[in-house]
Amino acid sequence: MVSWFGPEKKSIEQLREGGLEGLHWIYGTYSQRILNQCFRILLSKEQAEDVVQDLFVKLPEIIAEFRGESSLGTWLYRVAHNMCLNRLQQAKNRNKLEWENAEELAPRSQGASIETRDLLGKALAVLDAETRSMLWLKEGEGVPLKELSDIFRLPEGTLKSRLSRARDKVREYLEKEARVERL
Amino acid sequence: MNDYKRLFEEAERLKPPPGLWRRIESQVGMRSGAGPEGAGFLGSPALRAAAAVVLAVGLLGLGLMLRQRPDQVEVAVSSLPAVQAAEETGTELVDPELLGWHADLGEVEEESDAADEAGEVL
Repeated sequence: MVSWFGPEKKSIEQLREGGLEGLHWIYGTYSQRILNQCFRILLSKEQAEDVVQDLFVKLPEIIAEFRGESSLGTWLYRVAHNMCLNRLQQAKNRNKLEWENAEELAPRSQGASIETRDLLGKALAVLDAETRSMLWLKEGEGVPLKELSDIFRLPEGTLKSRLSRARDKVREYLEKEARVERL
Repeated sequence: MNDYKRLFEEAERLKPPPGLWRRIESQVGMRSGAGPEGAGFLGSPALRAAAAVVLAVGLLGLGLMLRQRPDQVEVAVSSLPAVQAAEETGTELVDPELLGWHADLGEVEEESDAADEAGEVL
């Protein structure tokens, strides 16, 4: 059992008692990481923000399900991951998300270079949503394998092989892109 | 640094937009009705338990009162304005003269029955 302490424990207690301060602390600590995770799964900035909003609005209710068996961050990554997959499934059922994602891949916000950002979006798009989530958390956020195992409820060995295959696919994509650029 | 590593290290990292927390805050307030703090208080298990205890004590007290002093309870109940009003209404509806007439009618009927029976015998 992972111990959660200090301000995190206090925030969870406040949240369970209905206090907004606890929710605000958790938002300030985790919202950015969750937003980026959702962005890499959904490949859409707007949809990622929607999921983050939805998650934090529901958090005062769903925090009852958090039993402290993992860190709060790990649990939130898992909740966000599931919410994103649900959203993709719903959109797939409506059969229209593919077109929205294609538009979202066009770079909009400031930050990293447009080429790199666009390339990452395209490279991740060759993977399925769950593998995108795994690869982003491992490579982009530096989440350790043990924690990934808790988030995805998969044995570490399975995760290693899935991550290895995902890296190969992304490298393959990058090489293909580089060849196209050289032409 | 190889292309693969650079791809992630230079990746864009989004920041939550400034209005996002406001939207969450207002939606949490709407979901809980009287605001998150009020809802937490009203919906807290401690308050629900306290309300249940108060209700149980009240019912127990009423039960004991009925068991030990039914006469006092009767007096207390009869002193209620609603009960008094009902009693007043009752006396107005039951007219004593009407009751007397009804009683006479009964007697007359009894008398005539007796006469009939006598005639039959004769």
